[in-house]
Amino acid sequence: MHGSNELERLSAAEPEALGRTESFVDAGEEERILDGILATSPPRAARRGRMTPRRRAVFVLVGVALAAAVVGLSSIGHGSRRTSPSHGQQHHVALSGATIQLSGYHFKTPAGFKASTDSCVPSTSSLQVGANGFASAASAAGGCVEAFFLISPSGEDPAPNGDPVTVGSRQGYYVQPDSSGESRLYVQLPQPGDQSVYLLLFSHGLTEDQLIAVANSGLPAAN
Amino acid sequence: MADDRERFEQLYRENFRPVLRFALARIDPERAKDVAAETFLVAWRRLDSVPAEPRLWLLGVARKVIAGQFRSETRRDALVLRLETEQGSSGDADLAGAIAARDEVLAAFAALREPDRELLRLVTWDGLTPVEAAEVLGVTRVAFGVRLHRARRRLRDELQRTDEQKEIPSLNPRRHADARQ
Repeated sequence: MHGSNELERLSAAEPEALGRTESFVDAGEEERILDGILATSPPRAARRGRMTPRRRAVFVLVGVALAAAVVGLSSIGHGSRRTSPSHGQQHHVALSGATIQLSGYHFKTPAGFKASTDSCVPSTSSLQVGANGFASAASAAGGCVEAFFLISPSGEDPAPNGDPVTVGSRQGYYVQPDSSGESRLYVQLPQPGDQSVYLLLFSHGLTEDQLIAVANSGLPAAN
Repeated sequence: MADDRERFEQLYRENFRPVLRFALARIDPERAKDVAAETFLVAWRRLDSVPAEPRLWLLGVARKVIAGQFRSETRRDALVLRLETEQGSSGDADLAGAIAARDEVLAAFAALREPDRELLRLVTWDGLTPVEAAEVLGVTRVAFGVRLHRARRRLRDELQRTDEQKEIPSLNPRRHADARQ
């Protein structure tokens, strides 16, 4: 065996588990997973034709998240108000919570949210915030939102799994909640040069409309 | 809608096992199941983006789901766990040598950086051609070829190191087998 090359040796050492997937997910469970998926919202016709498979999704999270804010959901039921119509707000979401500041942007948050200094990005997340910046927090009630800036040196797609959405007059990508309930909204910001800069709102417990409203409340209208 | 459902069901049935297998090569079984489910949830929501030949697209999505959710420590833990399970499941002394040989290769593999391991997994355990693997990674064939060449060299170096260590008597599995006879 040692006379063969390294790829042959590695192939021969393939874990046995790979050859018996049925022992981990049997046919019944496979069907249950399928049923669960089909029970979710069907593909949206409105989104058709707007996306092509974006292949290269290597995205660098530059750890210079400039600041962030976080907010914890501590109580619900405060008054509500709509975000500025000048931002093209299309989602009627109450944003009477704390304002979080990220660099020069000020984002309003849903009712009941308070600013926090704790991060709401879990330690298991692939997102890593640099030493000079962080963002976020979460409350005991479970809701949180955190703002980052992401820089893509190659200008590639930051959210290959995301659904295209409109944030005011900007293009955004919404990544649906995963199994842990975390969702993300990426909004491209104007930036000269080769780099692409995105606002990333990482959240737990916020709906798609709420995230879009939060982003829209702090971004100036695009030309 | 009915067409969507029919198309998705076919896509799911033809590709669920390959996607699950892909995930199992990288993370523990429970999370691999979640990754497979999430991968197909993405495919369902973006059905119009799924190409006619969906396998590589799905593997690319699965890879991103894994990268987005789990850290490399988890993957290493999964590998170790699998090794322990497999070793523990075999009480046959005749298999000791083969298991030890596999252990050596996997130990060398585990010593590599995750980017190298991913390249090597794609062209071995996942059974992809370099062209297909490059597509899953979203890199050019040339870039993939260069990276794979370097990864192979590093694996070869690690294997050479473990082969040399194997000569140490206390680590030689044959000695243990002989001692039981």
